[in-house]
Amino acid sequence: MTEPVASREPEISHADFERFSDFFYRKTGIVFDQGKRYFVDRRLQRRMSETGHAEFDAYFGALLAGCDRPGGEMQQLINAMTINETYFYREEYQFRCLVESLLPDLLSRRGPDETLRIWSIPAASGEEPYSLAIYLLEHWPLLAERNVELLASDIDTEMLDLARAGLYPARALHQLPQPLRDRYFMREAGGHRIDAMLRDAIAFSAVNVCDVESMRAWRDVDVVFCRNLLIYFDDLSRRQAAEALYDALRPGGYICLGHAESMSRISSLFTVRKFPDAIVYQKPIESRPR
Amino acid sequence: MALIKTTSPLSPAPPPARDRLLDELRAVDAATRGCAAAALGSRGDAHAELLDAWDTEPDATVRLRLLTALATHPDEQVTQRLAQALRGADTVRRTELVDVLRELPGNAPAVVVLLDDPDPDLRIYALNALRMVPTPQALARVAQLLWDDPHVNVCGVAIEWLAEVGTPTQLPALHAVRARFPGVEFIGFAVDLAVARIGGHD
Ligand SMILES: C[S@@+](CC[C@H](N)C(=O)[O-])C[C@H]1O[C@@H](n2cnc3c(N)ncnc32)[C@H](O)[C@@H]1O
Repeated sequence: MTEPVASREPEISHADFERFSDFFYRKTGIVFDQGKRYFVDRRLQRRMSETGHAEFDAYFGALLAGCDRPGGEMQQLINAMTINETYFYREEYQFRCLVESLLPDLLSRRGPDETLRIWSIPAASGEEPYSLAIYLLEHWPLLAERNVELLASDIDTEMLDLARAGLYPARALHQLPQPLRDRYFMREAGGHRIDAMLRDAIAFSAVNVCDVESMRAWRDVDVVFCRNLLIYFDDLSRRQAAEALYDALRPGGYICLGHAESMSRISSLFTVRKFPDAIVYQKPIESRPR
Repeated sequence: MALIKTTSPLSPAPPPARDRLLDELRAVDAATRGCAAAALGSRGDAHAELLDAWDTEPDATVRLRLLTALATHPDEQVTQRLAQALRGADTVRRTELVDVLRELPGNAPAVVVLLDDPDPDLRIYALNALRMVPTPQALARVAQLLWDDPHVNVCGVAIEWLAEVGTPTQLPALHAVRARFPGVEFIGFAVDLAVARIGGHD
């Protein structure tokens, strides 16, 4: 089914598209090539209509002028342009790897009172960090003795609002076994609401992984889940993101990527670790001179 | 249970001044040097210092970060210097340079001049550094190699590059290189593949 295109939709020329995609890439690391033309044009046109701009130039000028204003048009545009597909227990084998292999290894190097910090970035609408919380509660008895801090970030503020609200349609839960749905969700008119205890346990925040300045605030992380983000990037922004996450990790910390993403091609900063359940990437415990 | 939340997980450090970052670029600790490189890269106002640091940096990880920093806001001068650095660099550094050069838009003029160098290894690195978004100038120069480069391995890499990005204009050069190395099997295979990819017919 195709959406009808109103004849008064603002025009976006080839040059406009190039200018926009270059700017957007610099801000977010996300690459839009010509093949994404339709996707991008539709969203740009919608943002232009909603902000009362008939001409691309005027819209783009206003966008650049207010670019660094929090919550401004740049944020709206980012929210419109990101692809936020996610669901509970996506690539569950990585959670198994976390519990079976990564946490035991990390604990062997940490004092009994030290908090472990796990960061889901990008978290989109929260399914991934909530899955982590549920998985730990279900499969990691040591949670009774250890403190774990769950951080969850995304560039898209609309998604973060959804994550904080924790109300999900049934399709987001399709991979989740029924007993877990019963235990952690309440049926409501709008869908399934996740337990308040879980909502309170996760710190959500807006973070752009490509923004070196804001990434400086994130340190001492033990495990990063960075799944299904780098596929939207080009080689350079992948490398920048990999390096920023490298800085955020403690020595010996781990990064888990989506199954279609491979860090070896992205950066030689990490060591590839093959565990029974998954391949993950480790920041070396010692830095390696050559 | 012990899922805990600290309201403000980590306090954002204020961005350090440029001078401080330049000092940190010479810190004893490699991690500090790497972070300083990234921060300077995002500022985009310390290319010369980053290039100087790369020249002498002993740690491979930090060197990678210096190169990523340089690629963040690249200009012609950075591209020139990185391309020229390929000449004197050892194998490890050459590989690092190739990876970053490939990511620099507009690198063709700086890289193509290296194809005139007498060192066949350098010519191969230069071919590998050429972008997969070729300029007409780069296409023409690589096709020229197929007519006159004496080194068979250089020609092999050139053929592979053309297989990815070539156009029918380069078909005569592809046929010419096959004729120049009649006994070399891998050249024949590579040419066949390139010709098929480009969509020409023998
Ligand atoms: C496909 S979702 C992945 C969600 C989850 N990690 C998963 O695998 O199911 C991709 C998310 O990346 C976010 N994103 C895109 N660019 C980003 C950036 N530069 N920094 C942080 N998040 C970004 C988008 O907003 C989107 O929510």
